Amino acid sequence: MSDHRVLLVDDEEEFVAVLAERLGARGLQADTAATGPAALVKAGETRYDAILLDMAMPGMDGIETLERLLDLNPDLQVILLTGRATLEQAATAIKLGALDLLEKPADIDTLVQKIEDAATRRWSLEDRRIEEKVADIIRKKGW
Amino acid sequence: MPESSEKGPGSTGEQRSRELFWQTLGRLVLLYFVPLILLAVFFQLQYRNVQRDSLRAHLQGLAEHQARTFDLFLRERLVNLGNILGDPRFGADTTWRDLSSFLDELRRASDAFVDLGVVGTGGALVAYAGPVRYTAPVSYGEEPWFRELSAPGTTSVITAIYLGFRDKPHFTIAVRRDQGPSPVILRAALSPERLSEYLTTLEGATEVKAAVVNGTGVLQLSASRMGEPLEASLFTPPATPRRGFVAGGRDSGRPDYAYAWLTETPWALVVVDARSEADAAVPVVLSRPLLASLGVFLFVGVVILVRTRQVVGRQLAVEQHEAELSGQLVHAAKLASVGELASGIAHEINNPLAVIAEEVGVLKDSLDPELADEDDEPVDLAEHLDAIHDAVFRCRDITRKLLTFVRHGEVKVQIHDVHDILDEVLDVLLGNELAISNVLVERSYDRGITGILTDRNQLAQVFVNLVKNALDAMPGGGRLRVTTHLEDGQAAISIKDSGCGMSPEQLEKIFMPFYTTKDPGRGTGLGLSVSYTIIRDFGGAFYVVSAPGKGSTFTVKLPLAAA
Repeated sequence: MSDHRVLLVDDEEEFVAVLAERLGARGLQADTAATGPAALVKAGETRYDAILLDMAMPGMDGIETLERLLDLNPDLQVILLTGRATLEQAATAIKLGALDLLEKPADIDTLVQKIEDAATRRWSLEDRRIEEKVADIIRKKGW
Repeated sequence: MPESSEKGPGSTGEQRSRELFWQTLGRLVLLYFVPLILLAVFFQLQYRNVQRDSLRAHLQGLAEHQARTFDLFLRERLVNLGNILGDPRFGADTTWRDLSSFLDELRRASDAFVDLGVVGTGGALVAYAGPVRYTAPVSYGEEPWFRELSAPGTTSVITAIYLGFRDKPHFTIAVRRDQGPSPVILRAALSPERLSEYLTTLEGATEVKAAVVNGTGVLQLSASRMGEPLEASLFTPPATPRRGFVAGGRDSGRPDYAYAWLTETPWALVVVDARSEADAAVPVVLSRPLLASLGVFLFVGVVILVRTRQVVGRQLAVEQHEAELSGQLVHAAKLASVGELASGIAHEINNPLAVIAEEVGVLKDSLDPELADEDDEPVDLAEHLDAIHDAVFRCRDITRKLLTFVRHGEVKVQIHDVHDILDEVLDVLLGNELAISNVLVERSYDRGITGILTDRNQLAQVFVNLVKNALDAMPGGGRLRVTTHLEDGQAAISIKDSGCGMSPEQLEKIFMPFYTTKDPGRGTGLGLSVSYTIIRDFGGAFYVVSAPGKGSTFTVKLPLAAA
């Protein structure tokens, strides 16, 4: 069982509350945010292995929140959740750098699997960055 | 008040047909009859002119002809007299008795001769045959005709009508012959009655009334009730030209006449159309061109009637076809807008479904020994089941609304509160869409608006179209102001967005079917044209005010239901 930390962003508060409960039962640590700005604040404070983001939200919508999150940290792994996925929206989201797009209601096991994938990706990305940094330092120092 | 149920056929159809019939008939009558009447009047006038001209020529011809004949007649009388002078039996010693045999001869030639006299030197009447009994010796020495005849070179004379010694109107004709030392003069009186009678025998006498007048307008002879000889005549023909036509004119009280001057005497023969007076009494209606015009009118009238029926029939068929098409268009547009609504609806339904899935998931988790933790509080079943129940009914409400909207049923015109319909559109049908599009809805309702007569679904469709258009005009969100107020006794519903607005070119086309500014696949271009049709059918009106960058305001006006 993993102990990944995830952020659930959705304006449907009942939904996020129950989902957080269920993910908690599966050993994940789930935080919730009801709006895009709230999500940005939390993502700035805490390191999340994955962020589950609702596409349609009043105010800042999923796509914009996604952009801002990736601006904040390009290594963030964002999985979009949507009640109505058009091909166009999916393409936009993937192009912007979302890890995946899942349709509501999503199967919990699939969701957990995606979170695992996201965490793995996050770690490998961070590993690569460290390697790059190390290589850079070696090159600069002339070792 | 406008009856919104007038959409249906029935009595209004008949009324429409009748209205159309009279309209078309009126237009055709104007189109055909006005030029026809003008033409008829023109031809009538032309006909009258031609008729008058030909009458004029005819009269003039008759006057000339009669004048020639009458001249000839007078010349013959002079010749008759002259013959006596040349007769071997006639001499200076001719007695009264002998003279009467000559008179008999003359009267055989013409019964206009009244008497015959021989005038000696100095004008004394030496011999006489005729009806007058002279008791005293008669001398013509002072008579104008005698003096005229005594002038050298003159051999004959015809006097104007005068009374003379016998005190009876008559003409004198005289001839002179210079026999030996003293001239012999033979004179005769001509009867005006006989001469007048003669006038009536001339050619064309049945068509005209003829008279003879002298240069000063004294009537000499009159054929038929044109006055008595010696009276002043109505007609004084001009001395030149020698023949002509004089129009009478209404003011002078004198009919048109033609005249011709005689050559034997300074008289003119005057003719008047005998029918001209009677002519005036003949009603104009019966003139030939007018009858012809009437015939043409009748014919054209029948043609117009037939044509009107055809046109009306065709027009009604076209209108019915249009109505059918428009009905189909309304339904097609409704289905199209349901398509546009579908993605929103999917989201609406997927949200409660997601809730249900998670709630069920929690319950399942609680049964899973792997996930269950001894320390956890027991799951509150009722709480989760309630949440599932609520979510299921949320789904049911959404599908029910959608079905109500899309149902292609009879149009049911009832009194509705327009605010209920607006709220349904803003909160239920498009509530979520508005929220996630960051559109702030401001409502300002005038509760003084009572009911309006409308079909709930159709009007909701109009509002859905307007709100969806507003949403599309504000991709980054904005404000939507929905206002109702009373205006000129009608309910005015305004939907104002803070979007991009429209250019005048776009404004011109927005009510045209299939015109859309949206990306392909996003709009059908039917929304506004169909909304327009719906509002028009409810007896309302549709306005739009817009300018680029200033947003758009769509206003629908609908008649209030009778209180």
